[in-house]
Amino acid sequence: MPKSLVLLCLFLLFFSFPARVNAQDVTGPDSPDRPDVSSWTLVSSSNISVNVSDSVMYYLGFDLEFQNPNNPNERVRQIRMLIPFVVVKSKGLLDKNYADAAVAYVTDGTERALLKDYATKSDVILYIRWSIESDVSRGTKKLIGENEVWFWNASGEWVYGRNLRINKLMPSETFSGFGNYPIIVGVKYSLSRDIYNSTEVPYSFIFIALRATKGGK
Amino acid sequence: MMFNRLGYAFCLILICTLSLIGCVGKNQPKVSPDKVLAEQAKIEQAKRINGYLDRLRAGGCNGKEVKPAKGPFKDHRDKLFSSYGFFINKSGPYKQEEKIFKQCQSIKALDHFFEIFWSIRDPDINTPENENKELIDKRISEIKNEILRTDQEISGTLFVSNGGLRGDMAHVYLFRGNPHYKVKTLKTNRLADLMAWVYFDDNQRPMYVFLFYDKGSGFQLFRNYRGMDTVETLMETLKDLARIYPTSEEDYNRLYQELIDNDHEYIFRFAIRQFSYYLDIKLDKVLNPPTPESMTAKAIQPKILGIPDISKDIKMIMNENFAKIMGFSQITRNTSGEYGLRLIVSIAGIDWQDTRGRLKSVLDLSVSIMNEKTREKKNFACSLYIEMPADKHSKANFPITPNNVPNRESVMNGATLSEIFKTLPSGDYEVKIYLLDRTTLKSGIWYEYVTIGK
Repeated sequence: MPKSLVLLCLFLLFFSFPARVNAQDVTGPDSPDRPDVSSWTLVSSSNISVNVSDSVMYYLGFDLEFQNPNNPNERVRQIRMLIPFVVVKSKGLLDKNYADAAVAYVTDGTERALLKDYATKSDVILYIRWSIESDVSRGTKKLIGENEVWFWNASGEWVYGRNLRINKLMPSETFSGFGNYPIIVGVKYSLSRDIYNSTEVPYSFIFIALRATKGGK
Repeated sequence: MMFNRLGYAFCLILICTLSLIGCVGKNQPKVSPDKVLAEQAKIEQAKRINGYLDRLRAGGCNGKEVKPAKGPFKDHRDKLFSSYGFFINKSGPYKQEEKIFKQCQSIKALDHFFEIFWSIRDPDINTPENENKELIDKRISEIKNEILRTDQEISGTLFVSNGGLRGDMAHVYLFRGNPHYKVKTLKTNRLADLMAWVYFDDNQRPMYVFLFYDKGSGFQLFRNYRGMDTVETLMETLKDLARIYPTSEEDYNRLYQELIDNDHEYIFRFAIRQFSYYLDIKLDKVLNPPTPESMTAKAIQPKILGIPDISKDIKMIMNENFAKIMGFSQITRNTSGEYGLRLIVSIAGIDWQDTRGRLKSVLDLSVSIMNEKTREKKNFACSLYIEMPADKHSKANFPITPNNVPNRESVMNGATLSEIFKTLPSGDYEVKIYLLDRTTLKSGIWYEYVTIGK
């Protein structure tokens, strides 16, 4: 095949798709910047995790809520995703002959250290900002104005919108040799079919964990 | 400059294609130790234990066993043994502890022994305190201060009258702490005084039920679990628990009646039959001296899968994300109508090992094609070995097109991704693409939707 034709094919291949050098904000010039919550107060936090069985669980990320210290009515929710890791409790932990003081130090140490590290070494994929005020007549809080959403698409683009509905799906798979029931393998957040961000734990880790615990029994 | 760029692109794509043809496909992370690793672990453990025992001996606890005469050394040894004797191992991999303790020749040697003894039992070396020692010392203090004297359920019960720190009550208290529930018999004549200490688990089930009996010389632990299901076993058990030795059938009947009259909650009869709600929990195991591993939870630490193991000797060029690989996916269709996949990622968007001016990356790619109506799936997987000169690192994109790469999942599926697409019946399909960096464990997931054949 002539060299020039090869080069032409490669040229077309290389330049046949949009060359995005940087992740572009598709929201347009009027869209606000993503919230900076570095100085905000963390008011609630939970781990995004899945219990596969009594002895196998894994972590995917964090769900955090911050409060603006300068305006307590303003809140930001942040979803952060980490490199998923699986925790396999040993049979010894489940052996109650060992129970007592040792148990207090078992699951906390390594997991806690990892989660503490990942609290900052994780990727933010979603911000939701809103404001609340007291509803005196009902004795509760109510939403003021609209929610603002910043969503990080799988392509690396940030999508901004107001009052966007965030869908959350937990995909599952069956693992041969461990029953026919589906096991949740991750989490997928999405705004639409084309705008999504998904994280899954490598299936081989789940398989190894289940095999190590003989199906979690 | 354009031709340089093209030349670079050609090299990059050629290298990708060549390496894809020779796809190996073994990427299961090794976590379960095989035989060789298990042997290695055993040798390392033995080495570690021997090192610890040598340190125990080092401060003057070697040579012959010492039987001290009265004096400060004997008092000091007795005091330490009273406090911590139950925790010194007499069997198992640490059985030398008892022997070495008996070989300590001075007060200084004894103090050194316990300094090393407790240091290996420190559950968290990042804190200045030794949490396990503090816990045990607290319990010793509670025993010396007779914490049960004013207890609501068993008031008047004293450790000092029941063997002190060396008695069975102290043994249980040191190991398990204050029981969740305690009960004592009130009025017995022929039957020994009975006392039960109950420890519940998170499910509120009785995990340990320690039964003590006192025939007049102090409470001791009941250990003869033979049950009361036959006449013979019932009689033997009642003999064990009798203050006045039964000699006739009437004596046995009275003994049993006293037991029932003093056991409205059925705790004593439960405790005589079994030690725990869980049949695999045994009294002897629970009161054995714990090994350092079990006290620091090393023996039962959970296994963690998914922590990237990157040697410090390896120079890495990391992408700016902590966990994610970002990019674009496309389902393509060529002029012959054949479907294929193209994944576009940025060079700077993946992680690279820098080995003497050449950048390398190993990625695992898996593609799952699911019929949206029947939910039937076809799977494809392979490994990608990518290499390029270090000076070509940039934010430019490059494509991954694994359509003719051998499928690691080819037993039940097609031999290549292109072949899988060819064999798909008409319908709507969801294509899930999963890219995993084998070194850093960062990943990206993309979804495409395609209608075939309609």
